[in-house]
Amino acid sequence: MIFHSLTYLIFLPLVLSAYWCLSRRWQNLLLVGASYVFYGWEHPWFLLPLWASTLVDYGCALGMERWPRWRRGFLLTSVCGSLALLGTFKYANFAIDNLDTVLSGIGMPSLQLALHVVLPVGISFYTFQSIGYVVDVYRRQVPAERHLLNYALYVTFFPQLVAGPIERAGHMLPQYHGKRFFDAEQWRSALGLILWGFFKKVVIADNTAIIANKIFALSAPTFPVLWAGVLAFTVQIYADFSAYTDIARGTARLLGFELMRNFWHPYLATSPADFWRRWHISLSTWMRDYIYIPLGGSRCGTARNSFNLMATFVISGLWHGASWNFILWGAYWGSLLLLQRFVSALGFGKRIPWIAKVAGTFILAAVGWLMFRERDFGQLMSDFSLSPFHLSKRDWAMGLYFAELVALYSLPLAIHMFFKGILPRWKIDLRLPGPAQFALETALGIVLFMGILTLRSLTTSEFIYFQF
Amino acid sequence: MKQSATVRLIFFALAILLVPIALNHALPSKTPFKQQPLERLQANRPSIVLIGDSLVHAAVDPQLLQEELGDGKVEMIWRGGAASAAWYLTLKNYIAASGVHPRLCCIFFNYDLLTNATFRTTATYRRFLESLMQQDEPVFRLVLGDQTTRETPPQRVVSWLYPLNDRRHHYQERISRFAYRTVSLTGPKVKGLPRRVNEIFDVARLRQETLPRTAEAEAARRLIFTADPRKNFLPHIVETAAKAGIPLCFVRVRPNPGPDNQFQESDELRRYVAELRSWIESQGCTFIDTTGNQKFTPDMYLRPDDDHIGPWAKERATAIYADELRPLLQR
Repeated sequence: MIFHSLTYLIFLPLVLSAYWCLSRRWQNLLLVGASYVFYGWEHPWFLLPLWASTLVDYGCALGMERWPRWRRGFLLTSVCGSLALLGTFKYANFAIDNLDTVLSGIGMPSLQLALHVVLPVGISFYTFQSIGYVVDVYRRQVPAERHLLNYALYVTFFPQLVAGPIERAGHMLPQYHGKRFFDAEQWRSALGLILWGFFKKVVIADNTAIIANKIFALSAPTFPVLWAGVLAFTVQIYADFSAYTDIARGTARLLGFELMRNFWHPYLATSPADFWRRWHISLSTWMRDYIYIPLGGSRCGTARNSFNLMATFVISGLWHGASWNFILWGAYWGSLLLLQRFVSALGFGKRIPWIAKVAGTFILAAVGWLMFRERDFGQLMSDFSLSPFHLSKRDWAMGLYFAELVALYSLPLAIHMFFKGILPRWKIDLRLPGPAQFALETALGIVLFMGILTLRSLTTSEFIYFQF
Repeated sequence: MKQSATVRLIFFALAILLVPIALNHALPSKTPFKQQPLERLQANRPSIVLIGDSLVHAAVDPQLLQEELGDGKVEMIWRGGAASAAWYLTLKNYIAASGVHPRLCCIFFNYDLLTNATFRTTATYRRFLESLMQQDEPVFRLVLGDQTTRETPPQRVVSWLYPLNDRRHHYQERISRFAYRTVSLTGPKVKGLPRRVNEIFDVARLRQETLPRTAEAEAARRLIFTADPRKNFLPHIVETAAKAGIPLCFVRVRPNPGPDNQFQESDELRRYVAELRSWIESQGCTFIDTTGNQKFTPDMYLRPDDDHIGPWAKERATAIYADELRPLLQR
């Protein structure tokens, strides 16, 4: 089931009305059941790997507490189980393809093998969330969850099951144990968040997706047209993914839970490191805590530290998809972070104005998105070799037209960024006194809803991060 | 405190849902109906009316055709990119509604446009179609309602509550035009930019792997003739003309035959045209196929890859069409 469908708009009120009539224990049961309905709506078999992951990790965490001597064994079993699941569904064909290339390179026959499996949506999210849980139990940072129902809810909670945020057991399990109270103010803020999420998805992301898809379908775009397409994709991916997070957080809030923030105006980042503190925060902190630090983090020599950083980003790239362009994208960001450290160590960059830093980081991020979007290596090379010189007026006008179209659709995003990201930086608080603030928020809600009705894209697409 | 928070929540939710309903019903739900063609028809009272797209406009000079045929006034109602939906609306809301009973009404078409109902009915074309529509067009809803929107009952309720939901194309078109305007004001001046932007997305310029491979897309490419009134406008065109007592003639335009002046068509297209012709003639209408008319020579066309007649050959083309139409008027 997808958020921006009529099915979900019927499903959610039904779940909410039943949920708030039940006691806590029954509420959790309802949520687990609803989450399975949500996840298995189109492909019921998707539930099988989800159940397998839930049972294995639940058992391993309990085993760690009951038989401390076998802690490492349980940890390995659980992590290997999760990675095997990911490997089978997501990386097996990629590995076979590459092995075939190597074999043909050395003159050997190919494996003639391919797994015909559909990738269950959200598998990368829930396996990482499960790995995080067992590692936390292993490190004794959280106690093992004794109730299977609560653990199942931790893994399957429908608002964040398919595309995160990748939550932490220490944050969510206490909430699943606690009592929930209906809070009208929380509900109002949740509805506002959901509305803003829907607007970002169906108006901004889906409309810029049309431009990006059209341009990336061209076999020989010109320099201005291609980069207008990159700009479109840069806006699309942020609007799309952050929309999902907003709808997920809003929905969770309606149920009395608080999910972590996943974005903090990433296109206002002033450096590559800052970008990753603002973009997909739940994944970047997961990578930091469960890969970068266990590898040794920054408490080691420069060479080792550089390796740790690069390895973390390459794995992060690979997490996104089984394709070389994602690995390249991860390596690109790893290199940028290394370069940033080098430049900072030399003392450069302190006098660069804030706006130039923001613009520079935005351009670097956009270049990264080109690698992310363009899966064909040959095409990517051809894209990078395009020249901005010796082009006709017509080529520039076309590029400018697409860029302006993207700018028009992303205007609400820019306004939001200005009020929520830039003004607070300047310590300007535009919050109005009680009733006026309420009137403003209501008026904004009406504008967003009108925007959804009149500007919603004529063609809709799935959330980009569903494929990961 | 808790009570006032609940009241605020209810007010917030209701305002968001209800205010747009009022705004939706206050704003115009369609482009106003264009009166001028109707008034022109009533004033001129033509005996021959030609309907078509840019192909007929490029090939026929109405004044010259009038002189060639010598059978009363000739009126042409055309629009670049128009197709069967526009032709049905033109026939019903202009020609039949005008009360003028022309001796002949000719619809110029090519390929499968007579039965391809969804062709050019969205985005810019939708706005143009709305200018030909009356407030309610049941046939339009019948034919396109289930094909373009595939609305489920709850979606129909939403559309009824919020009619602007169905006018998104209009607002998006305005955004697109605003972008074109700002480019022409601030950027390099390029004549016909919208057309040039469309040209770069020609199928020949797309990566092969991006072309749709679904069964639906494959089926859409196949030529299957049907006279099902739920699937295309052709039966409604014929019915409207019959009710208004207007003799109808369908003229199949000869596309650019290529340098050897031999128009080639696939077996599938030939079979489709044969079925189309047979159905049209069974309804008492006339079918003229000019695709085999070798008087239309390659040098008459605008460009080697274009089906439009060049301005230098318009007079010749008009004369050829006059020869094709004359026998019908002599009956």
